[in-house]
Amino acid sequence: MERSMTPPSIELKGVSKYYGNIEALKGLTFRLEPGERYALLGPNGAGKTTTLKILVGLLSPNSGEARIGDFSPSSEEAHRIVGYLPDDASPYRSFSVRENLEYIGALRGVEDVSDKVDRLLDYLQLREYERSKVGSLSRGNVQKLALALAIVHKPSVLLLDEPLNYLDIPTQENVIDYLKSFNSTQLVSTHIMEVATRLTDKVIMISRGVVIWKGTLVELKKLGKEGESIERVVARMLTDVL
Amino acid sequence: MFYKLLKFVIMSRFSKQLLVLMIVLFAFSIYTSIKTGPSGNVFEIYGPAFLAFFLVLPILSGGIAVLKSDRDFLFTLPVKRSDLAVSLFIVQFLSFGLIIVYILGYSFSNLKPVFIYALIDITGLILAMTSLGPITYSLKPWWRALLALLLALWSLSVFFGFPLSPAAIYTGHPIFADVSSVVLAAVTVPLALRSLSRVDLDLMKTFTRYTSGQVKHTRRFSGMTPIKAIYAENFFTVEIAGRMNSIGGGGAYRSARFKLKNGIIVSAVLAAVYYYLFSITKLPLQEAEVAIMVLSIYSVIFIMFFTMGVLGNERLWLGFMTRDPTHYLRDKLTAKSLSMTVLLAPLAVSNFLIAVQGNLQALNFGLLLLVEIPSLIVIVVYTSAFLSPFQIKEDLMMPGQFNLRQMATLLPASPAWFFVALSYGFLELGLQFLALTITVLAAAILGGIAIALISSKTVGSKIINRLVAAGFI
Repeated sequence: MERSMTPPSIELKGVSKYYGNIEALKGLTFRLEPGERYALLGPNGAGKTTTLKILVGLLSPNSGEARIGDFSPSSEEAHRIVGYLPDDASPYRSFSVRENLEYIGALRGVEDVSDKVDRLLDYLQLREYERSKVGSLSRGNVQKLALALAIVHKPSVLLLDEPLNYLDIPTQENVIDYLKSFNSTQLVSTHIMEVATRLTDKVIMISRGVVIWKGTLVELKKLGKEGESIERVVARMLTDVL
Repeated sequence: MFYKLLKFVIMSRFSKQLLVLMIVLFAFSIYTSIKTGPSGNVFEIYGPAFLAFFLVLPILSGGIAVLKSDRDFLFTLPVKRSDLAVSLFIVQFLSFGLIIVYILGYSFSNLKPVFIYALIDITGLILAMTSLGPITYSLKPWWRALLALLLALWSLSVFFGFPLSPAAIYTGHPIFADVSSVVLAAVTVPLALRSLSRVDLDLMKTFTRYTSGQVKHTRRFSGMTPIKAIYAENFFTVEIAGRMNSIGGGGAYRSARFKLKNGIIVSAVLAAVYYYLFSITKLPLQEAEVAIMVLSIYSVIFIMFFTMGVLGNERLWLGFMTRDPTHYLRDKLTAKSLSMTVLLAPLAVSNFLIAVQGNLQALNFGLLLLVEIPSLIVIVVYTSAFLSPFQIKEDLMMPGQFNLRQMATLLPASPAWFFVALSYGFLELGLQFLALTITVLAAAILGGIAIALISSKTVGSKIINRLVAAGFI
């Protein structure tokens, strides 16, 4: 399939999701225009992970609609263009680093998988571990591999949950540069403002399954009092709604 | 302080429910042994074979059960190393003791006249089993293999009339058996306690990670279509998975992969041995004890160990995200099931050959291997996903994570037992046509259920939702 140069939009319209009697998302609505990079902020249990799982088609909403461009998130078309990194991602443990990358690359129909894997191994400094089983890797190297797996097919939509967790500082800088150079629409779930400010330029704040604020980082900063850090501003906003 | 430590170590390894279950099973096996009389001479083969297995097991698994939380917290507490060593040793002793009594408890019916000797023999053996892990963990693999082989041969030497072996309790030499096991324990226990007291805490980590972290031959998927990649992984490669020493209080999770073609070679050799035993030497496959033992091995080994990793090792964010998740699940399970059919085919053929010679019980087993077990793998995977799915994210899992519901996931294997037993019953009554009908029907029903499950997109979607809800990543 020829991939469009313009990345698709991401949209949630009135999405609700229940786990038993607990309503994790309550009519969640937001839209990311093609190519926009948003941070998804919220306290523990706000519904961030559920939102991402709905957007990758792993969960179906009880009501409302989710779209990746023109496609339903669970469609094969959406799966082709989405790259997803869950929190604490765990690749196939009994596979080696290279086997993980080549297997997923082949399943995704990536051409010249071997060459692309070579490039990713070098870029993420995983070359010396290519024959190592995932179970024997350090947590940082597992995270590097997980990132590589999320982007091996050059997705035009990236849904990332705490992408910089466990990474050493040089790799963090590499990853930040790489993700910023990606022509894709990106939604990054994080608790760390530093990650949000380095990777994105806009913020969606959710709490108890609803959007409580959406805007640019510049606008968010302006909400603070003089000398107040952006972390303090976010903490205040999230505390006010709890 | 020691008793507090010991109690803590015990409670951190056994869930209360598991302890209660084990005590009930222990009491049941002893009760049935005492109530029933000797059960033929099957334990003369069964007993030494299992003792050989139990002596080999701790050498192959190595070390002693150490949990991640032990390394992170327990080993950093200000407690005496000797107390810690003894506590770990006692817990391991209790764990192995439970397994041995649970599995060999039924053989006590044959050992009633030498009950006290049997208790001494078994106690010595459990002490030796507990000690062998800490003693041998640092040996090179081939030394460990050699030691394991020697101990196994020592145990099996009773088959050749050698009396000075711990297994001689089953062949009418109780005093020789006691002398053997007590001497073995007297040598191994001090060495084990010494090893446990001296080894660096950091080295304990190696107890749980003794295999190489590198793959020898990297499998290449480059240039494959998605469906070829799925079959390369799930058909041409066989994965067995299970928890080493799970009842023994450990939490180490192990999985191993081998190429299907290598598996077929092993299967063909086993099939030849099987044919030799049951056709040429006329071992009585039609006897209930032998039939049940063969069926147990088939059910436990082929169903449990081959199904545990199918979903437990799967990653929703990876394989399932590359295409329609229900299609991925369907293709993966079809490949696994077909792979199992091919792997078991030589054993099935052996059974069919024996059946042609007039032993219809072998036809039961042939169809069980060729159709029912590959079908049951699909059924058990689906049932476990609904009942109590669990994903293996770490090598070490806390004990008690396998609860009763998870044990119940093997219940779908029971129809195979039921049908084989029913068919066997009709054979005993001389109703061969009815027995044959039941055998064929059982295979058709289980095969039909497996195909229906695999083909249903609705069931596939429900499975995936269930996995997501259960916290699968």
